[in-house]
Amino acid sequence: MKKWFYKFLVYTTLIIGYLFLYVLNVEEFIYDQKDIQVKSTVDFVYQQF
Amino acid sequence: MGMAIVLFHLVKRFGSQLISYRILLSIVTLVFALVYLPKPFHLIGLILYLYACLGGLRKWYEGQNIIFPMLLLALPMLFMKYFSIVSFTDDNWWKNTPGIFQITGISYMVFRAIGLYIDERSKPGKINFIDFFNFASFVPTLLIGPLDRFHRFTNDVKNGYQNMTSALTYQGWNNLLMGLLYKFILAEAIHRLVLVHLIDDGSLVYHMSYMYTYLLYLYFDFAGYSLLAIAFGNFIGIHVPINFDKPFLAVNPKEFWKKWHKSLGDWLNDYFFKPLFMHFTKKKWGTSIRRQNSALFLTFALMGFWNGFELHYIISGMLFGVYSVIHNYYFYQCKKQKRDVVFGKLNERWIRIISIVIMFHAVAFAIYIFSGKLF
Amino acid sequence: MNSLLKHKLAFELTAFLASLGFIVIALFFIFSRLEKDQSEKQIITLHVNNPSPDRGLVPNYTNGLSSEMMLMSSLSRKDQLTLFGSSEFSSNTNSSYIYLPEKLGIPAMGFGHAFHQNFSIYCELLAGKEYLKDSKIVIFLSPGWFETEGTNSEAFLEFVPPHFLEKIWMDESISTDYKLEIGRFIARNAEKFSNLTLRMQAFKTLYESECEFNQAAKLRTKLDKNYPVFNKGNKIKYSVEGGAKIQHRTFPNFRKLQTEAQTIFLNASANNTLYVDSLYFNEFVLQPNGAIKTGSVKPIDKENSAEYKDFLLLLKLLKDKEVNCSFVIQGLNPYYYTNLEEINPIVRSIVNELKKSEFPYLNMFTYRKADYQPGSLNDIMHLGDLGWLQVNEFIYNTYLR
Repeated sequence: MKKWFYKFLVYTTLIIGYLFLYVLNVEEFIYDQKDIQVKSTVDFVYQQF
Repeated sequence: MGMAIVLFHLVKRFGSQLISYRILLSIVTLVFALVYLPKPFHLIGLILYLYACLGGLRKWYEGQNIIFPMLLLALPMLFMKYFSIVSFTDDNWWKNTPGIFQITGISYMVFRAIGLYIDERSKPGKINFIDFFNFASFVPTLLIGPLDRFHRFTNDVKNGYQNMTSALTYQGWNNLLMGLLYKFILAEAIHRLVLVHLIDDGSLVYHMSYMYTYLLYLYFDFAGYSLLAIAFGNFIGIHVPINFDKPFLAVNPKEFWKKWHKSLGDWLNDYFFKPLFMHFTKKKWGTSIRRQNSALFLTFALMGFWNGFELHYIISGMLFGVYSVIHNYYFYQCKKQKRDVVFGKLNERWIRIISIVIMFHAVAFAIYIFSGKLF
Repeated sequence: MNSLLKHKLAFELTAFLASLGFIVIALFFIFSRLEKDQSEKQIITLHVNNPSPDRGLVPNYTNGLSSEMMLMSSLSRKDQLTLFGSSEFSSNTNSSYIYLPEKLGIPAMGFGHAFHQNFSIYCELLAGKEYLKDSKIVIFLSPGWFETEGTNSEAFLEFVPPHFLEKIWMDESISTDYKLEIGRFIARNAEKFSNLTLRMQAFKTLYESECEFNQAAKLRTKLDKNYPVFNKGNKIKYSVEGGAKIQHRTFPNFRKLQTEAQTIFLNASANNTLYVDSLYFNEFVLQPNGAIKTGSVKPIDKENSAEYKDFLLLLKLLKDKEVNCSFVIQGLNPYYYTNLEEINPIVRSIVNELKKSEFPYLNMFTYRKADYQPGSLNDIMHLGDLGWLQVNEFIYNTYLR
């Protein structure tokens, strides 16, 4: 019974983890996004002319 | 991977007389390398180099010293590690060379080759190229292990189709579930929800939070990946050795390396520590304890270098060496004085708990240095 | 199948089904209590104290709300021209956004600087969607755009600020097809951003849900659509002011002005035969060893050009929203560039598309030296006084005659 319950927990954690991390992106509900600064990782050099 | 597993089972069911397991494994590995890997021909080149070196050494090298063979086999890996820390300007004629050595899984392949050389040294005859190819480039363990042994692996391959039992498949399924849970749920959650949101204000609280969090993240990520590799091996009938086994319950460094990245610990023990210790013993350098501790420290220092030629890898490796030396000396003193020189007459259960806590923190600190966050 | 295996299978299956059942029941319970009404979303009105001008140039929207407001006001004012361009936008007094208001009393504002290209303009127009119908817009296309790989990540961040993205996302009247294009851009360029905001991530997920075997994205999109709690954000409205009116002044003698401008330019470019300004020639074209630098262009395959696809997308939006839009196709100097005929095909394609969509256009591109009017460009690619006056004449004829 203990083994079965452990397996049940594993499946439940997997499914809930998938839903929270990959469907909902749960961090957007936990962390405030207000101050997030986005930068370009590539520098584009403006023409000199 | 899924398609490969189905293919193996189909061939086992309908075509095992037509195509042997080892040939099928080679074909699947080759196809995978050509389709999915970024530099498949570099990989094949590396395998050919290692096989040529092995053949050459077995045929012509008669010395007992294993340093030269090790260095010869490790040459590509040494170049890769070197080039990854050296910057190149456009003036250097070798500016395009570094790319040649950036091959997926090079470190593990080299270690497998070295292990094979040492294990099979005393056995006559040629090593079959297909067997070597399968062993060196076994896809599930290609990137980050676990490190298997040639003899054990080749035996599994010999009994390939018979090994593909429902029991092993079930074991594989369990490993797959745990691997997915560890790597894609737990490690991912720790990374995305905690690690990236820790604010670096230089305070002790930050460093400690990062230290513990990173350790847990690394464990779940690495152990998860190992479990997935083991699972895929299981599905095609290979008993890939386990790599992680409750490492945070280790009471001392010796036990730790039997529980954390076990295959690497075993490899270092068998192919570096033991030969080195025997060499020191032959040369009669210092006392036995001194020889042991020197060999221990050097072994872990080598591990540091194997991870990379960057300072944080090297210091981290050496720190693990220091831990092992301290424990070894403690053990030696306990034996000599016939008592526990640190814990005295304390209850065994308490000794165990305190040891686990000390070990956990020691590991956390060493891994924190390994992470490169400090320097 | 042996009994041990059957036992193990039953064990796994029951654990899995129990887990699934437990989660389904929990989700059913949770979702039945969730708010479904999307109309309750708050509307946030954005407002600045200073009135938006009716003349001048706004290089990008990184200055915050005031520059965003200038765009929205310009689009909303039916008498004001909104000009979109890139590196040719400068402080030349004949630039349309200076000349038209100052000399002809026609309100006009320019938006953009280098790297401002079709996709950015597309996003800006979507953000100002409610003002587009009958809005007077002029787009300055540059052949140089089509040599790039489309709008770059830095330009996207400069020209599509968070408010614009938020406004587009929360606007239910904008069709999913238009939003998908933004999602496609973000997904394709995800690695070129240091991180993604909530809104950028939402667009990316929308795109992934439509195009890939990505169950997580599909699920998330469904949740966003049906349950406001997953679709964080507020509807945005800009509080624009009208007030810009055309003050009729005498129609100038454009031909005379253009002839004068050309004469002045010929004097100012006397030290070379490439018809570039003398100072420019000395600094950028004349080599230290006395040789004269020349340039070349790469032929552009429109089937593989991201910029061309963005151009077609922009046209589609402009037609759809019945925008009173016109185009200026800028030229390049055929005395400097040795192989302009290589890009003539793409210019012809652009012209054909504009004809098909019935948008007025001024084509200033020629690969033939004989057809090139000295002074239309000040250097190898940027409009000179003559060029600007030709543009101003075109704009006047298109919108005020």
